[in-house]
Amino acid sequence: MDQFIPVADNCSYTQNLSDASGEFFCLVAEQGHYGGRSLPTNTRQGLYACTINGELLASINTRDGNQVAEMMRQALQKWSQSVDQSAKQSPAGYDNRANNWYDVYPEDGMVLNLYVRDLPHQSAQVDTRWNLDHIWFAADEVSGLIPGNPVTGHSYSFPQPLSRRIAKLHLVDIACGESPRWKSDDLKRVEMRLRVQQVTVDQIDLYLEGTVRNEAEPSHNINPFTQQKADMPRGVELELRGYLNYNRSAKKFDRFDATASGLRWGATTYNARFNDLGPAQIGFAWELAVDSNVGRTPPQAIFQPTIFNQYELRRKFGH
Amino acid sequence: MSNLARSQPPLTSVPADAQQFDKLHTFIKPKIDELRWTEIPWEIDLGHARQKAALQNRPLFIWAMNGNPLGCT
Repeated sequence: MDQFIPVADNCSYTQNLSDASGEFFCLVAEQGHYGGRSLPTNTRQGLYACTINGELLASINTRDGNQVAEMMRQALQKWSQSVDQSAKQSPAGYDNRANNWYDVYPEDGMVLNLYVRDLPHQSAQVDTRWNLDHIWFAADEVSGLIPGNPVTGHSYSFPQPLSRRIAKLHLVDIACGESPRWKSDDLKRVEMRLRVQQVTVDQIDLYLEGTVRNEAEPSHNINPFTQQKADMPRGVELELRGYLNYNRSAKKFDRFDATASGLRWGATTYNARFNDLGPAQIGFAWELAVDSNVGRTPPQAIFQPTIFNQYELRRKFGH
Repeated sequence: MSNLARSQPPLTSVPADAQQFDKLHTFIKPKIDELRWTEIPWEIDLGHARQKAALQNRPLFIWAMNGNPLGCT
């Protein structure tokens, strides 16, 4: 990989852009493995090696590491023979545009990694695929988690807008594939409470407890790749537990470890559950995210316009 | 992400104490081997990556997914 400049891109967004980045991506992708294809979908996802002027060196769409390594070898071989290799001029049309919501990262707030994967069945054979999302908190949402006068043993409600946002946007079965977020009507039960475990001059320790039950009617959408459709309700029923440490002088959390575990059932068009409809055990884990390009990746739900507005409005206007 | 089979002892679905919580939390989180892709210095903007590739005379390696590959896909 050291011989390449690696870049990660949300192509469902980029391939529809009419600017330099969109045109460049389409130029490359149309030479690749899905070039010209419109059925079963027009997706162009995959791995592409190319020159800065858009000459394709190699491409593939696979999770097989050996195939990826071979694709990279082929690309480097073609690169070594390419006249384009000597092209060092800066690409035309670069517009220095922040195009992917990284610019609304909550610098003064808090970001959690959210991991999700299946939990072991009694058969002990479990699909080990997993997925990652991020939960963003604005600065006032972080401070809103801390009681004004914390007393050991007292418990209080997790702020409802936050608990509902987490239940709606983040407690989604994406362990094996993408899935739409819940709608407000799908939230059947959302209860989260924080109990003060210990208070010192420097720190407040909190214990998170909660229950979330979400259920949605079947979409009846047909997966264009498998021709299967989601024709049964989908849902999750989860118990939340967590250990939180708030640093009073820094006014930030030093620990925000939590789990949401329980049952999931049903399928959505692309979450690869048609042959594993459940009910079966699933687990979500949260922890503080590290400030990095990966840690700064926006929540998946931010790409839904209404959700983006929710985050953006909060950032700009604090509501 | 990785789908290699692995056998694990049964977990308590809802942790009753801190020890069970740690076990469940650790199980759900990805292992070091599952996070090796995060060690790659991914650029997050295609235009900026092209500029960098031009300056360093290297080809681009684009990881394109429906959804951000560095987050949820």
